[in-house]
Amino acid sequence: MDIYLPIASMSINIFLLIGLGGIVGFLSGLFGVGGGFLLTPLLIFSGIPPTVAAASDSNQIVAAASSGAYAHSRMGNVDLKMGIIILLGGIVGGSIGVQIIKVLRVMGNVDFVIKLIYVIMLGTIGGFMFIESLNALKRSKAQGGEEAHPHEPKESVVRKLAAKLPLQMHFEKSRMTTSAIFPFVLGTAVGILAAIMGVGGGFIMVPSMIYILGMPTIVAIGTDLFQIVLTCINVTIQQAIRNHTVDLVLVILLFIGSTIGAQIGARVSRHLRGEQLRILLAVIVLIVMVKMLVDLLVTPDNLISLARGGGGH
Amino acid sequence: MERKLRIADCGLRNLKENSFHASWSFLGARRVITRRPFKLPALTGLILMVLLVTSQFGQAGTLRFEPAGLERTLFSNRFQTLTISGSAPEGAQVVVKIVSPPKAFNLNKSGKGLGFIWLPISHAEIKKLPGMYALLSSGKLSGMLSPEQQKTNGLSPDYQEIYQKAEIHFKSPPKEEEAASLKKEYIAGLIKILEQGGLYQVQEEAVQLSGVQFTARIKHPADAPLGEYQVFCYAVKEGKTDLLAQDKFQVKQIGLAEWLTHQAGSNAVIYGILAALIAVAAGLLVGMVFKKGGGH
Repeated sequence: MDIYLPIASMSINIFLLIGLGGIVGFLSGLFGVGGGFLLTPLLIFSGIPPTVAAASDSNQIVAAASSGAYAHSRMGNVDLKMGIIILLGGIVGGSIGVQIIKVLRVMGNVDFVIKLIYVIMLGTIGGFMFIESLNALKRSKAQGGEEAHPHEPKESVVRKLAAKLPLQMHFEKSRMTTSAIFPFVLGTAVGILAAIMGVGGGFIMVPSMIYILGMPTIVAIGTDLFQIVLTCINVTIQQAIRNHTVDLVLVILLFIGSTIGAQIGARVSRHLRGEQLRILLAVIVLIVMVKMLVDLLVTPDNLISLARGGGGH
Repeated sequence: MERKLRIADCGLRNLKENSFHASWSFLGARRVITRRPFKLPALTGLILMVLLVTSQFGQAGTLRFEPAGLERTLFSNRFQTLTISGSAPEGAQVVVKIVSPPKAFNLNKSGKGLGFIWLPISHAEIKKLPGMYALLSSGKLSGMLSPEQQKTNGLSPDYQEIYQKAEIHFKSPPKEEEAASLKKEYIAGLIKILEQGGLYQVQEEAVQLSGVQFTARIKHPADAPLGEYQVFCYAVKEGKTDLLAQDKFQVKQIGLAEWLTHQAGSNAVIYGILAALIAVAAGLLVGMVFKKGGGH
């Protein structure tokens, strides 16, 4: 059964879209991460034009993240002060990223650069997670099956440097004092990457908040969801105004799938241990990375390709 | 009836365009009209003859579309079928050509960089090409027309017409001696892409002939451009080609699909805010229903 996507101007199997949303939602529920970094490439692999995939994905993320942000804010896991500073950085970074995309689009290299950044980012994060989870599994076996707790992050050089910067602020929810410049710059850097890659950036932001800023994990997740909702609302409206690429029909179908998938994923996750979940996620991330790397290395069937605009948020 | 009149009108227009020097070898006796000073009896005779001829031509060239146009709703399939039928002179082969509104294509050409990675090495924009192009014939085109005749009449199975029409703009102009071959390479690559999506198609022996009636079925992809499509029907006999009829059909969105496209284009700010609000409301509703948050 096909459905016509009026903005993408194409028909596609309705169950394929709900299924893709379901897979990403399942992973979301299973691992507690978003799925923007997986959903955009999966939509592109399915034939959705990259600009529509990226813009509609950001709208779908608004729906998916707002339920999480609502729940976390009720539990007191959102550091509003930190979230607003990161958000401001994200807006600046997003604007820089959109300009970079514009320049690349004019040069005709946007697809290549997006793929390359995906390969580097997914390879780095996937590889890091894989090694970390493998070590955790080994430690767990050595401890006789007890779940191994990840090491507390050590105070990084960056954090020591941030302590010497001006605009020092205390962040009560995050139980830390640091310069406002630090989360702002981090927000900007992630904003640039997120804009180029057309994703929400949660998979970069949460590890950065934990390992670089030193925030408690649960507060990092809650704060990240809060800033993602606002960032993606901004991106959705910008994309709708500038590029007319938000396809509401696509968004609704993806959201139906991801809602169902997230509930199933959350139930399955109760039967798996933390390091098993992380290693599984690492493998999925690495598979997507390998698919993109193969596209860059294998001789294409057709040396001529349509130059499509990419990126988004 | 209205369509018949339009085709008859098309026949009359063809006559005028031929400066009163027309011949129809398929319509029995060869008729030749030469330019003369107009006088009332001659003019009356001419009008009567034109009416007689165009009524015959109208019968031979009437086109029927089933459905009359293509409408895209939210539940349209990947391909919609359009049937084009009409009548052709006895013993003639029929070729049907369908051309969509023109479109511009931005293209990259890949080459190896650093010795191992495939990256874009040149860019071009191709203009004035139809977003969809289909050629359907009742027999093998090679058996009906010589390559030169195919080219002259724009009926080549290897898209010679497309190569002729295309306007290419290179972002970095190539060397003069390379330009022609590079243009050919870009167009060939684009045609390959469009063929894979069913947007460009050549279907030989796809037009069914039954006596003087012909029927052609075209599979129209959902990602083909919207707008007015031109249909040209040719009769081919003994190496001679006659334009039997030229008509058009519309491809448009209707209902919710049309409304959404209109809102996204004309009321983009409201559409964007609405999209964001719907997403937030849906997310909060789901959050309240399941009483737990998702992650991101």
